[in-house]
Amino acid sequence: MPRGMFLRSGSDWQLDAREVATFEAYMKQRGVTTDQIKPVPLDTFLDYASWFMGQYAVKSHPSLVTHLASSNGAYTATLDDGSQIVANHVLLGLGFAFFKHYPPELVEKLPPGSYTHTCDTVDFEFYRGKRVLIVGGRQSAFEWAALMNEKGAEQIHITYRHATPKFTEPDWSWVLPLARRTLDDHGWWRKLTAEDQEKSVTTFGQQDV
Amino acid sequence: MILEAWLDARVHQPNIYIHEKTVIVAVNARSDLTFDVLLDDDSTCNVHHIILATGYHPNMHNVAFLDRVTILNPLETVEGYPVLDTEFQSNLPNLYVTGLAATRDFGPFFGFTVACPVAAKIIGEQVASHQ
Repeated sequence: MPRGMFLRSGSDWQLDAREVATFEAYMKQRGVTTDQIKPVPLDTFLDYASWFMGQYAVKSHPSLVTHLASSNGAYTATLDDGSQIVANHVLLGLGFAFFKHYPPELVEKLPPGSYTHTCDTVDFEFYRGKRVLIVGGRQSAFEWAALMNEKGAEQIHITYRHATPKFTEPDWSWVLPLARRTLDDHGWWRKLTAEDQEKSVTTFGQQDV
Repeated sequence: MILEAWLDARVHQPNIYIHEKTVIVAVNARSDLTFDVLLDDDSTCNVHHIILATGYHPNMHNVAFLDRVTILNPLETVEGYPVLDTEFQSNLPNLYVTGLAATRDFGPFFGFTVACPVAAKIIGEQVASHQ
């Protein structure tokens, strides 16, 4: 995620399952009110994440897993420094970078080397004085355009199929209860009909990404 | 679809050109290493770079560090998503998956921070019960 980015979520989105070391608790300790950080800058949330780790003395092992294999009921992770960790349980929290979407019907029209995905485009200084075409018409397309412009890009074009979305303050308050519903019934989502799931995705998508 | 209000003024700038309801027809490389772009409303532009703001789609087969023989091949997936039980566990015992890749079974909220504590609680309790 690029420097200077803002989060779309409000102060009630947080990391602690115990709801103690929340984002709001962090802000209170820093003497900051909700109104002072609206929208929430990415850097502020990253600082909250560090604070959260400190609250629970969570230690990270900053290295890349290069290989994960299973044998005899255990998992072995090989790290980029060559060391190995053997574990009985593994949780894959994979983030987004493995899942960049390159629409085939679009990519086939683009010369090799002409394009990158927003996921790999986080240093906007590189685009100073350059002309850029952004393909896509949702939040990331417009936010990348704004950030590139503010870093001195010469021209930015944005192309997308739909009509220009509305710029308005969204209401996210309905999302948290839906997520929490999973605590009471872990399988509620999968029990919905495909049609009801679709309805929910559409509603969510209207405010999303 | 809605965009954040705080983006409005930042994108309505003289050097930002918004081509709504268009698709790319053709892109041709020039000798000066720029690209001529033709859109289907017949407008054109010449750019140094093209950036795809085309989002994300989970596909476990893109996760290069997973061992093909012992994990990827036996891992049950549907349209790239791992098939998870109600505790976020894949069909491989004690291998859990959360985040964007869990959204098929748990809903789109699980691709976002909002559901992070929920997944943590469910997976944490499950793992603890197996210790």
